[in-house]
Amino acid sequence: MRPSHWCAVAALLAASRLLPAQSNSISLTAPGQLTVSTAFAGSQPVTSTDQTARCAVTVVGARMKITGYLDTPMPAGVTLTLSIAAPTGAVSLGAVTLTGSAQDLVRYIDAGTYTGLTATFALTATVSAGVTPYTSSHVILTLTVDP
Amino acid sequence: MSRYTKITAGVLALAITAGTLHAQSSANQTVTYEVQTINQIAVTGSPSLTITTATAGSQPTEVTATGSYAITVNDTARKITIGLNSDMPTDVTLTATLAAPTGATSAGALTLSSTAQDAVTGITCVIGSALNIAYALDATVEAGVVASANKTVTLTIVAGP
Repeated sequence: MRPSHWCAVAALLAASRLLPAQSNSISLTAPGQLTVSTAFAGSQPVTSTDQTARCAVTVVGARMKITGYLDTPMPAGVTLTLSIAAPTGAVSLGAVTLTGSAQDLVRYIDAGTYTGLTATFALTATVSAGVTPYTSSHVILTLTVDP
Repeated sequence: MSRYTKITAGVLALAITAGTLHAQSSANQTVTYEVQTINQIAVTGSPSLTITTATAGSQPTEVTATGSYAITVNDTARKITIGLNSDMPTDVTLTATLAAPTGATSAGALTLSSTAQDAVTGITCVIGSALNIAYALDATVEAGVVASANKTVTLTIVAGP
C-alpha cells in the first residue's frame, strides 16, 4: 500500500475518534418530593403529583425509544407512575406504572436534540399501604434502538 | 475490489461503528416519596328530633332520625369518639349508634354528653362511606316542655384500640 493510502486510513481512524461527540444521550432532572398526605373521607388518599422534572434527549442515527424502571420496588399498595412528553414525531406511552422491569415510556424518537420534555411523576397509595416514612428510589431511563 | 479498496472499506466501517457504539445511553435520577398518616372523617345529614306525643299512661314516645359518616384511615389502632358541645337538658336523653367500617367494632347505642366516648373501636387501614348514625331522643314527663335547640355532635378519630 502506498504512503498516501496509509494517510487516508489514518485520517479515517482519526475521524472515528471524533464521532462519539455526537452520541445518543439522555438526562433527567430531579423531581420534587412526592408526599401523599390527605384524603377525602370515604375515598382513597389523594395522589401526589410533580411536574417539575425535565428530560432531554439526543438521538443520532437510528430511531430510539426511552424505557424506564425503578431500582427499588415501591411498597405494597404504593405506585409511582411516570409520563414523559414526547418529542416531535414521537409517541408517549402516557402514565406508566414503574416497576423493576424496563418499560417503554416514549417511542419512535427520530434523530435530533430534544430538551425541556416534561416528566410527570405521580405517587398513589391505598389505605392498605399504611404509613411509609421518607424513602428514596432511583428511576433509570435508557435510550435503546426502537425496532 | 483491490486490496487497498478493501482496507479502506474496512476502516470506514470501523469509523462508522465507533460513532454508533454509544447506541444505548442512560440517566439515573433519585425520587423521594412519603405516605403520611391520614385520618379523615366527615358527617352528612341534619337530623331533627321532636317529641310530640305519648301513649296515655306511658312516658313520651321516643323519636328517631339518621345521619351518616364517611371515613378514611391509613393507620392502625384507631377509634372514633363521640361527644356533644354541651349536655342535654335534665331528663332529656339523646343516644347515637354508629355503624362500624369493615374490621372495626361499634359500641352500640351511647347516651351522649359533653364527655367524649368511644363509639367505634379497632379501626385499621380502612375506608368507609355512607355509614349509618342512628339517633334517638327520649324525654320523661319531668323534663317538661323543652324549646327547640341545637346540639353539635362531634366525631373524632383518635389513637386507641
